[in-house]
Amino acid sequence: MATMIAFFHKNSFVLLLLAAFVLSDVLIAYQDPMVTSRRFYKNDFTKTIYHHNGLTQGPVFYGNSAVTGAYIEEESSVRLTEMGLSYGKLTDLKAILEQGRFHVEQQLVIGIDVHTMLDIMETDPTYPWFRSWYEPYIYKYRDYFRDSGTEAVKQLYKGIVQLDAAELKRYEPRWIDKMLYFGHMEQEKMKEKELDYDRKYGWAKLPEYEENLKALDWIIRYCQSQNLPLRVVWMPWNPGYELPRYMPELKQTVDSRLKAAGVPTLDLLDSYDPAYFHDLVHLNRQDGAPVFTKEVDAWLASLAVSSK
Amino acid sequence: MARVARRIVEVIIYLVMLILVLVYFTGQGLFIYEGF
Repeated sequence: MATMIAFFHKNSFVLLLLAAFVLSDVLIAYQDPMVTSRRFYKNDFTKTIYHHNGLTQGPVFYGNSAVTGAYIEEESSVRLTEMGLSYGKLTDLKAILEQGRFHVEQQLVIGIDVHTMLDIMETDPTYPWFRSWYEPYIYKYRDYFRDSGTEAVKQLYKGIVQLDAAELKRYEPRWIDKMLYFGHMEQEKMKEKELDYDRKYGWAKLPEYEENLKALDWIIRYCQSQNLPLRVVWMPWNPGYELPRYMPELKQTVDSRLKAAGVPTLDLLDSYDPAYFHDLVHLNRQDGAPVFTKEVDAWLASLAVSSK
Repeated sequence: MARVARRIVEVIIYLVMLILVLVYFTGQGLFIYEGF
């Protein structure tokens, strides 16, 4: 006992510092400014919940930015929660369901495009499921604390120099809306994108989407265990450009698993005219998205009738 | 009592310094989505 007291006494500064760091980090994580404060950058998952008044349950149309661009929730008769996440993959959906971050009810529709299944694709590192339980909040989001902290310090300085109390607290609210796609991208840029996609992902084989195939299997089992109807839509690809080399094999693999599990699929991969696209993977908001939304609505309605 | 107060002040100062070092010198750069 005496040696323990001596140890604490001798190392009291370091131990107190550690305790203070852990306590302050827990308090900041509890407040979660990455979600609650407009001073901080917002990812698409946070934006989805923000635009649904904090609701974390309901029917969902999940996918990546192709879903965000193509599905107009306000115009849909089914009113699925549009959960298109930039760089969203099936591994992300698995994490959302596993960690209970959103409770899907009534039905889960998944939009899969040419990038949704790629393990090798980059992602938004601020998605909350990427933070391990032992990772300090301040450390995980340090770049965003730096960004917002620098702005706050500059404003403090400006307010003091100008003797203006309003300037002290002024800040630029971070963007809270998702990226939508209007008009048509220039041909030259489209060609650049096609080459860029091919350079980054064109070489993909089975090992490069294995984790997402496992996630698909997990999601199928999850939906079966929850009695949750699962539907899959193959998202449109601009037919003016060559389909990525890995797609025939990937699509065949995914389709066989969906068929084996009896999951209804709507294949729109090559059924949209180039005029409906903004670029290679995003339908444009004026022409493509309304047509897509109506088509998905009609398909889901037909499934609802046939299941009665 | 004064010694305890001094120790607490020291801890707070070092805590702020630790957080500033973490935030300002270990970053990897902002990720801001600007279309894909």
